[in-house]
Parts: sequence; C-alpha cells; structure tokens
Amino acid sequence: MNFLLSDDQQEIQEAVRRYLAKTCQSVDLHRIFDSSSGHDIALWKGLADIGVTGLALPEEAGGMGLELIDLALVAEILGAAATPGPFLGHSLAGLALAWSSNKTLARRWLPGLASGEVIGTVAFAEGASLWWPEEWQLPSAAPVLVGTKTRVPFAAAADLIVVGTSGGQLYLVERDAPGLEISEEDSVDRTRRLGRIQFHKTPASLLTAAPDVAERLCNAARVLLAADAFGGANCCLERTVDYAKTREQFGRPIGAFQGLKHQLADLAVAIEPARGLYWYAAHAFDRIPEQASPAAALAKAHLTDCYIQVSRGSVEAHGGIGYTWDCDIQIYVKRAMFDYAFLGGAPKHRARYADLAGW
Amino acid sequence: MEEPGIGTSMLVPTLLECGTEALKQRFIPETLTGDIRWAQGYSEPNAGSDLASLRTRAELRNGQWHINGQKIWSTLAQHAHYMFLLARTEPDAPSKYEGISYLLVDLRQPGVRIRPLKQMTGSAEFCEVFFDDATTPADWLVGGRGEGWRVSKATLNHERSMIGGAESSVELFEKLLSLARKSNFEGVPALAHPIMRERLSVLAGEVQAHLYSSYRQLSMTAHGQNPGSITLMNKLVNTNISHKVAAIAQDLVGDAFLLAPPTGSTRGAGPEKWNLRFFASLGLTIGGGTSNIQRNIIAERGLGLPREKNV
Ligand SMILES: Cc1cc2nc3c(=O)[nH]c(=O)nc-3n(C[C@H](O)[C@H](O)[C@H](O)COP(=O)(O)OP(=O)(O)OC[C@H]3O[C@@H](n4cnc5c(N)ncnc54)[C@H](O)[C@@H]3O)c2cc1C
Repeated sequence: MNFLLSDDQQEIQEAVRRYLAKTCQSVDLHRIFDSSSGHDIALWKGLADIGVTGLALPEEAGGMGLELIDLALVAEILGAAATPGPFLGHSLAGLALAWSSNKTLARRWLPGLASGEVIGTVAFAEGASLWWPEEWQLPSAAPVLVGTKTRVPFAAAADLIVVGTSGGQLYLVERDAPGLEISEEDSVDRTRRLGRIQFHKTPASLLTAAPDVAERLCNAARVLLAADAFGGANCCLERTVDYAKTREQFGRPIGAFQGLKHQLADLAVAIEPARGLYWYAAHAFDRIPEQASPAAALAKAHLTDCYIQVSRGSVEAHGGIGYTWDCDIQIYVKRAMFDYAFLGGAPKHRARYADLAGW
Repeated sequence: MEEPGIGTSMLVPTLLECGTEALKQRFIPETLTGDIRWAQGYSEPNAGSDLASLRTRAELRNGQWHINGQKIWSTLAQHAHYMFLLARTEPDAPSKYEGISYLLVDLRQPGVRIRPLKQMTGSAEFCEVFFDDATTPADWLVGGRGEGWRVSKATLNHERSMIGGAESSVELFEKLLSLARKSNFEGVPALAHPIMRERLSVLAGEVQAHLYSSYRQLSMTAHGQNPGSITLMNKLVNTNISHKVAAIAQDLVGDAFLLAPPTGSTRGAGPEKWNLRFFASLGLTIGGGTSNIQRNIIAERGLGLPREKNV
C-alpha cells in the first residue's frame, strides 16, 4: 500500500471540508443538534451534490465508483466537523444494494441512493448488545419479517432499511411497507439519531443470503466508524490546542503550563499515529480480503477508544466551559460514544481481533 | 444529580471556623434543616483556576455592601436563597490575594440576575449570576475585610473533602458492582469474565485504599494530629476513581451507551443512567479546582517541589 493519498483523494477531502466550513459551522451544528430530527435536508443535499452520497456506488447508477478508502477519507472529514446526518447508515445501505444478488432491486434503488434523494439505513442491533451477523436472530422468513431491531441510525428519516436476519442474511424493507412501526430512541449523539423498528409481518425482499456479504458490510461499518473517530478526535484536539493558546489564567495562556502541555501532547501521540490504522483497514477491505476483518476490528476498537480519551481530555482542558451544552466539545464526546458503542464496544472488537489473528 | 450539600458541607464549617456569632445563629440552624439553600460564588469568566484574579467588586456605602460584577458556574444558584461569594473590596491592596472579602448575599433582590446554563448532561445545574448594585448588610462578612482569600481556602478545603469523601467512592463502586452483577460482558455474566474481574479488582484496591486512608485521616484529626499532605490528595483520588468507574461502566452498559441519560430523576431508568456518571466524572475533574490545580497543590505544598512562578 502506498501510504500517500492521491491528488483525487485529497481533492475530494478538500471539497467536503470546504463545503462543511461554510454550512456546518458551530451555529449550524448546534441548531441541528438541538432540532427534533437531527437531519438537515439542505446540508444533506449539499453533500449529495459533491457526490458524498454515491461515492462508492457504481458509476452506471450515478455513483462515483470509488472504493471504501475514498468513502472512509470522506467519513474522516465528516467526523471532523461532527456532521449531523444519515451518512453512515446511508452509505452502508447503498453498499448492500450494490452487492446484492437481486439485480432488479439494485437497479431500482441505486440511482436514488447515489443521488441522495432516497435515504437508506441499516438495521443490525437486536438489543442485549447483539450486533453481528452471527448474532442476528430475527427470523429469515421471506416474504415477511417479524421481530424488532434497535439502534437503527436515522430510522425515522430513512426510505429504505437493510435488515440483518438470522444466518447473516440481508433483507430490504421499504418505508411505506405495511406493518412497519418506527419509534425514535433518545440518542445521546443527537447528530446521529437512532430508532427502533418493529416488523409486524412486514413485506421484505431478500438482498443476499450469503453471510460473507453481511460480514463485509459490518467491516465497512467498522472502517467508517474508525475514520469518523479519527477525524473527530483530531479536530477535537485541534480546537483544544487553539483554546489553550488563547485562554489565559495567571497572566499567561493556559497552554504555557507544562502540565497541560504534556496532557495535550499525550492526546496528540494517542491519535495522530492512528491515522494509518483506518487507512490500512480500508485498504485491506478494498485489496487484501484476508486482512479485511482483523484490520477493521482493530481499527474500530483502537480509534473509537482513542476518541473517547481525546474528547474527554478536551473537556477537561477547556475547564467549566467544556462542560456546557453550548460548547462544541460536548458534541464530540457524544459522537465518540456513538462510534465506540455502535456495532459493539472496544472489548468485543479486540476479542474478535485476537481470534481473527489466530492467537 | 446528587444533592450537593453546598450549604451544609461548605458554608457551615466555614462559618463555624471564621464566622461571627450573629452570622452563625442567623444561618447555621436553617441551613442544617435545609430551609436555606446556598450557592457558591467564586468562579468568574476570567477567574477560574486563577481565582484570586477575580473582579467582582463590593463597596461599603451607608452601612451596606454594594456588589457589582459576574459569577459563573455557580451550582444550583437558580434554586438557592443565598450565596457566599468572593468580591474585591480593597482595590489598593498590595497583592491580588489581600484585596478579597468573603460576603453573604441574598440572591432574591432586584440587583441579582440568574441565568441557568445547560450542562453536557442536558440539565441546567449551574448558572451565571450577575450583580448590578446588589446590596448586603455590612456585617454579612465572614472573616475580616480583605481576609476573604484565607476564608475561601477554608471553604475550598471543605468542598474538596466533600468531593473527596471516600464514602461517595465506596458507594459508587457498590453501584458499579451491582451493575456488573446484572450485566453481560462478552456474552457471559460480567462478574464471571476474567477481564471484568481484573478491572473491578484493580479499582477495588483504589477504593479500599481511599476508604482506609479516610479512616486514618479522621482518627488522626480526632486525636489532634495532623494527617499531613494526604488531605491534599483526597479530591484527586476521588476524581480518578470516578473516571475509572465511568470507563468500566461504559463497557457494562453495552448499547445503552448510545442513549441519552435521563435529565430528571434516574429512578426506574435503564442502564443509560450511567451515561450521566460518565459525564459527571468530567464535571468532578473541573469543579472545586481542576485536577491540574490539585496536582500543583500536591506537588508544591505536599511534596515541597519548587513553586511555579506567579501561580
Ligand atoms: C460541574 C461544575 C460545578 C461547578 N460549581 C461551581 C460553583 O458552585 N461555584 C463556583 O464558584 N465555581 C464552580 N465551578 C467552577 C470551577 O471551579 C471552575 O470551572 C474551575 O476552577 C476551572 O476554572 P475555569 O473553568 O475557568 O478553567 P480554567 O482555569 O480556564 O482551566 C482550563 C484548563 O487549564 C488548566 N490549567 C489552568 N491553570 C493551570 C496551571 N497553573 N497548571 C496546569 N494547568 C492549568 C486547567 O486544569 C484546565 O484543564 C464548577 C464547575 C463545574 C464543572
């Protein structure tokens, strides 16, 4: 792997960064964070216009046909701005359709997903911290689903739901399907709202019965969460460093105190070298299939754990202001909580890594 | 969240130590019964760790103090009747420490405006308090004029021993243990999992140490002995324990880590109520003097290391 980004990759990151610098400033972020839906249609549309919604979807469906590494690079930038919205679930739903053996469904839905006009999401969790394909118990019984999924990202805004079922199968459920009951959960991360979905004999179409596809989808999720965590932690630290340069106590910037300096240096050392971890995991996903699962598990565990440490350290370094709702830092803490717990926490992923590494 | 005991644990001991007989009688009984609630008015927007640089002024005119300025992060001030505050009364004093007095003020008067601030927990548990020519009687002064810094150190010690109370750490640990008893970790009962057993036992060592250390401090004090620099460590020990509790709970609550904690009563709430403690442990690091300030105090006053200049 060439550990350098191509010009195209840098350009995409730059385009998203430029767009968010205009549209996702602190005021916008807090407005959406406090809003009832957590989803801002204008912001989403703008991201779609840059190509974010169809980045890794096939060109013939109107996507950009790029790889997971490119999507992850964008996830990093979105994470840095703590961007609210359905990017995660949407990207995963798109991949599931693109990989589906049901070509009719793919042809029908991919153009809308690529353009962002159709919003997708994924339903993995079943409560009791069961997240993974081998843990899914919702019966795979076409043509209707019966059961409950929880912690579904932007369930309330989604038009299409990719549902994981027993045996690691994936089904597609449409928003207007009969027998679909969606209720919102009180998400700690208000930039990525969650919902609970009950299926009462809800018509569903099989996307794939091959468990390795579901596995691959979860690996993509791990990489995207790791990338978000890297972007978020990095930005959180940057802001904290800026604050430490300007906030004065005892007649000097607080960053002049060696105690604080060392703490911030430690956070930098925790996060900065970890960039390669998500790059490698994305690259393995794209090019080295036998490495994809362990690399994704390790990146997800390590980076989301770092994000918790860095965002908490950032609150501390801000003092009283860091503990307020109005401070941006608290939003990063909550994004870190999402990245950490979604799809299972760090211990679960570390145990998986150790198993996959053959230890 | 927990009842902070600002009046009973901070003001009452300070009054007993430094207050006039009249103030003791006026305030202690009703504070102890809970009929009078207090807020602490130390921090200002530009005077946090460097508390002595505070700028709120009080001038004595016609037998009354006239107070002007702003306090911030004042816990539960919106529900308090009175505030004990630090104000600059001797503008010509030779050092920033010597010009400060410790005053008691009725918050229910036109010159006082209180604005609750929402915390990251979602609740508004601290406030900005603005003083625009608020008044208070001349003798609602604890300690002498210009002696407020010394008096405030007494309160801060009480606050830190309150925050540093080993019982609260023990109680928190017990709660964590009962969470562990009810939770699964890696698909097995958490208490049966070797990683969880190890993590909890490491923490148990710290908690038990803190408890016995507090017994020893208490016994020594009761026998007229000085426990020494250990008293400077209590707050940091307690804060560190709360962070470790948060880190373990984070892995016990599972996917409840994704949910917002309740903003009102936690009774009957699910494991997501632990997210409140996850946040509160950060508040503990900052309130009552940040952990870095505690480290400075331990290093300089406790260990006798050279002092940082002008800090
Ligand atoms: C939940 C909560 C409740 C509170 N309740 C009250 C209350 O009731 N009444 C009240 O008066 N105040 C209260 N406070 C305020 C609290 O005392 C201050 O926030 C605290 O003293 C820090 O001040 P600051 O916020 O200005 O941060 P700053 O002093 O600006 O500190 C910012 C960062 O710089 C670091 N720093 C500063 N100086 C040094 C140094 N010399 N060496 C190394 N690092 C340094 C700090 O450790 C911190 O990490 C409360 C705060 C919180 C979070």
